[in-house]
Amino acid sequence: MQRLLLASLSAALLAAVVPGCRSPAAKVGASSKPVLSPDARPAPRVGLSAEEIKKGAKLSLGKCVRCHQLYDPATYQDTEWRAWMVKMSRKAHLKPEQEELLSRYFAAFRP
Amino acid sequence: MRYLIPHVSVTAAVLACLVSARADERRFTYSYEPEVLPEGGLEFEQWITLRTQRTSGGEVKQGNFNLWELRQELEYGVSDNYSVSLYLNAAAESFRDYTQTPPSDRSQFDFQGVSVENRYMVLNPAEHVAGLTLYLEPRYSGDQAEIEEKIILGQRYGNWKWALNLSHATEWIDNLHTTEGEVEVSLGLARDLNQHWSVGLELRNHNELPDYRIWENTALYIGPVISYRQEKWWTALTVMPQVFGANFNGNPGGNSWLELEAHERVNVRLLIGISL
Repeated sequence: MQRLLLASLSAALLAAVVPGCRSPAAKVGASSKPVLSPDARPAPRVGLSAEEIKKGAKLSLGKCVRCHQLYDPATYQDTEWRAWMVKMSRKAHLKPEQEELLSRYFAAFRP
Repeated sequence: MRYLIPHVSVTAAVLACLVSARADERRFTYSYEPEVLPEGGLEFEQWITLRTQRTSGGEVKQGNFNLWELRQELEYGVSDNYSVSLYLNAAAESFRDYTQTPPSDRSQFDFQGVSVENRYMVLNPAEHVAGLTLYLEPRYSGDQAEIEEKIILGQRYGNWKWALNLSHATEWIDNLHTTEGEVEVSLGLARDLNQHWSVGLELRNHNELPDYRIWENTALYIGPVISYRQEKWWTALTVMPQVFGANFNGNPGGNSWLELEAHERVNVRLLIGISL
C-alpha cells in the first residue's frame, strides 16, 4: 500500500511539474496561449468609453477570470476569438447585453 | 452490489441523454473551490464514493468492508455569488462479520435522505488575494439529520490552483437521540496540463467527536487527483489511501498507525458533472 501510494504521488507530482519545466519564459496559460494580468485594461478607443471599460473589466473579473486565466485576445485569429467568445458566453450564461459589451471590451485588446 | 445497479443505470441514462449539455468543472473531489455556478447555470452531478477495507481483526472484525456512497446532485446558480443544490443520498454497505461463528456476510442499502447545499461566494478569487466561499448543507432522512458548514478558500496562480476547506458537521443519529460532531480539513493542489486535463494531490483529515465530549479518532488521507473537462461536462477522480490514523478511545482496529474502526484504508471518489 505504501509503495502504491508513493508511486501515485510521484506520478502526480511529475505530471504536474514536468510540463511547467518545459514552459518558455513568457507567461503562457494551460492552452499555451499568452495570458494577461487579471487587472489588464484596454486603452479607450472609439466605440468604447471609459465607463464601458470599467464595466467590462468588472464583468471580465466576475464572469471570466474567476474561472480561468485572462487569455490575450491579441494572440488569436479573428475567427478563432469569435468562436471562443460564443462558446464561453454560453458557458458563463452571459446575458445578451453582457456578451455584447464583453465582445467590444476584449476586441479593444486586439490591434 | 445489486443495489448499485439501478443507480448506475440512472447515471448512465442521464449521461447518454445529455451529451449536448455543458458544465462547470471541479479539480478536486473532496475540496470545493470558491467559484460557484454562474447565474442561471444548471448542473447535474453524480457522486460515487467507495470507502473500502477496514479490518477483520481487533474489535472491528469487518472483513472485506465496502461502503458505496451515491449522491445525485442538481445545482442551480441563483446569482453569480450564490448557488443552491438538491441532493439525493444513498449508501450500500457490505462486509463479512467476524463477530459471528461462523462468520456471516452482511449487506445493507440505506436511503440517507435529501440535503440542500448552499454556497455563497463572499470573495471572488479574481479580485482578491484568495477566494472565500461559505457553505451550509442541512440533511434530513426521517431518523437522521445533519448540518454541515464549510469555509472554502482557494486561488489560482497561473496554471496552478489550490483549495482549502475547513468543515464542521453535527449529526443526529439513532432517531435523533445521539449527537456526533465531525471536523475535517481538506487541501487540494492541482496543475492544469492543458485545456482539458489537470492533475494534483488532495489531502484530507477527518475527525469524529461523539457527543462533543471526546475526540474519538482522526484519519489522514492523501492521494492523487485527476480531472478532465469538456465544454459540456467534466469528471474528477481521487484515490486516497489512509496514511495515518489514531483512535484515542483504545485501539479497536488493532492497527498501530491506521484508524480502522470508523475509517477505511482507501477512499475513492469519482465525480461527473453535466451542465443542463
